[in-house]
Amino acid sequence: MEKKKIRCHFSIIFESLWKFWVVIFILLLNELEVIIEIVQDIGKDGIMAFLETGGIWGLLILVAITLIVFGIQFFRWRKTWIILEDNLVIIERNTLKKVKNTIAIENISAVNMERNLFERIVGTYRIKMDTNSMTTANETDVSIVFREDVAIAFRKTILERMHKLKGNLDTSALSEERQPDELTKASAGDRKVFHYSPLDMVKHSFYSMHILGLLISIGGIGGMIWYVSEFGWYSFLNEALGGLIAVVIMVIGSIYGIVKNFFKYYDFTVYRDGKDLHIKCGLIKLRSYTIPVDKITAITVQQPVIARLFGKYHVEVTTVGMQDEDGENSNITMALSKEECITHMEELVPEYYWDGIFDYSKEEKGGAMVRVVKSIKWHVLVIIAMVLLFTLAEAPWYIAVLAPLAFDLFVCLLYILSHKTAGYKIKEEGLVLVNGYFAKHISLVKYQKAQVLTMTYHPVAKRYGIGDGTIMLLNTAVSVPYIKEDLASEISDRIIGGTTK
Amino acid sequence: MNIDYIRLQKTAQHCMRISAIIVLAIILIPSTILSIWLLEVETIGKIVLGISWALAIAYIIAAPKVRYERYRYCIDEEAIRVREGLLWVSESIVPIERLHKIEISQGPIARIFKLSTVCVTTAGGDVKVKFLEDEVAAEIAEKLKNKINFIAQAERAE
Repeated sequence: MEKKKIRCHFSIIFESLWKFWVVIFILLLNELEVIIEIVQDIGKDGIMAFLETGGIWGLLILVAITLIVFGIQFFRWRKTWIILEDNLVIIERNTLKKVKNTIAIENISAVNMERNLFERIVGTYRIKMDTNSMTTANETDVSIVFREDVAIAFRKTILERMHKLKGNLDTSALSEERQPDELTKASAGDRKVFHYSPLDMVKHSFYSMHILGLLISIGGIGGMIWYVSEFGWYSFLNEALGGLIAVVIMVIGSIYGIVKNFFKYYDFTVYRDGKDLHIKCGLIKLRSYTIPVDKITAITVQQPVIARLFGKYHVEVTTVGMQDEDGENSNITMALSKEECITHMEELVPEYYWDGIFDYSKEEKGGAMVRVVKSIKWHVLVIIAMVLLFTLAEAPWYIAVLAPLAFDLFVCLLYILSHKTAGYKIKEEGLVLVNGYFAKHISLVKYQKAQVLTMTYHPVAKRYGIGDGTIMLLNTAVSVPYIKEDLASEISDRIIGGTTK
Repeated sequence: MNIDYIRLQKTAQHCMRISAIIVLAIILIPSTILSIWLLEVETIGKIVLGISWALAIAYIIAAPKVRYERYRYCIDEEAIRVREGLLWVSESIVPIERLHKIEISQGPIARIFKLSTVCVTTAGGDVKVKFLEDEVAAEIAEKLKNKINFIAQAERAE
């Protein structure tokens, strides 16, 4: 019986220690005033006076706690083994609590590699393994740190065994011992590698920006400029400093989104290799992950608000058992034009039906009337709010009327946008379902992946012979816009006809 | 395609009505006691309470009848279909192939009327066939269980 027993890289001890110090730092931040006082005292009376007045004990306690945490982490590291035995991965920990986590390789859905700044300096990689289990779908099942060469070899071994167990004996596609950093070099041969430049990252980050944050920021900056030009800096600082701080926070918030996405998706590279998609990205935290195409539950072509204005799209896949930092959706392209999107996707996931996905039918016209009726509850609430504001709160008439009215107009806008955006297309292989308000989401759902279809018929919709609904997939749900009843039964027949689970 | 939907037994309507009475009584009786005797509400409050009671009584009289009339289910070789609702009618369809688990449950009120619920679970959600007579529920569960076993065996054989 083949058995390989290895430990995590010892740097994991210091990584845990570093996290402990971050916690201490955050705790100390809460006591900032006391810290400033202590620093001022040291500056005034010298370090010796501080130590003599009891400061030594504080330092000693901190050192002792650090040593204890170090000791615990060292003990955990010494007593934790990763065992590779035939077709099993066993994580064994013999600390005070004995834990033995056994995972069958055939149940592993993804073996991904990533490294943060610390791991990059130390020369290690973090291997994250996910299984098909729904109970652990929202968390990584195994997360271990190895030296670079060990990590690459370990991942290669697991991937090879996974492929052998799936009956794919040809592992030549996996035989390269490649680093995620050198992924683009793997373009040799007939594989097509899609690589995005830093300019593409900036564009993608811009197109993915939240419109509300952007509008508030622009409005805030505009308001600030107007105030300063009208009343001057002195008045501004005296009267509206709170406003300035709010504007600064909003601007930082919207810029943060761009910067975060730029760092997260920097050097985004994706290629198809056999039955898997390989993705690499990240500037500070380098991530390399594999998405088995058969684990894809649904594919969504996303069009955030700004991207919608510029006619750009990016594609996300929803998978079971694998997760991105933002949940279980993973980007597989950056912002692309309609034509580029189709070309890239036909190369990356040809199993899906890309031809004509953008030529979908708009939802039935009766849907607009249903939404009008559905919006009545909001109008009633708005009128009640107006009356209460006017009578009980004794608010000025313009506040009592305009504030609820603005809210009502926004709700109406949402209803209009949801009707304008909604659409569908019934194809042989699956459905194209379009939803959204300001942003547009075009979901591709294969019939065999659908678990439950629920159609709802509102009394008004019933008059038009239409209904809307939801398709439950493994770990997500997709809305069905208002469609004719006969189309709903055609969809249900096709779903029933799909035999694969 | 014609689907042979099955209607529920008359006892289901009684069960729905008793459930509605109990739920509304739990909400309205303490609210009324609190409002009139403890908070001593004004006329407007009393009017709101009166309207609430009137609506509750109307609901108890009409809702179970409408829900009962609308409730339909169909279990055939291919799928489980459940049609239900009061104002909004919904229809859920679960392909038999996607079934993972079958569960029979019975609440205290349903027990009085000898009614059970069969809950069919898939990997992505579940659908309940409610107000079934105990024997019918057991029969359906058994039939579906056999189907799940058959599918599992066929998959293993592949």
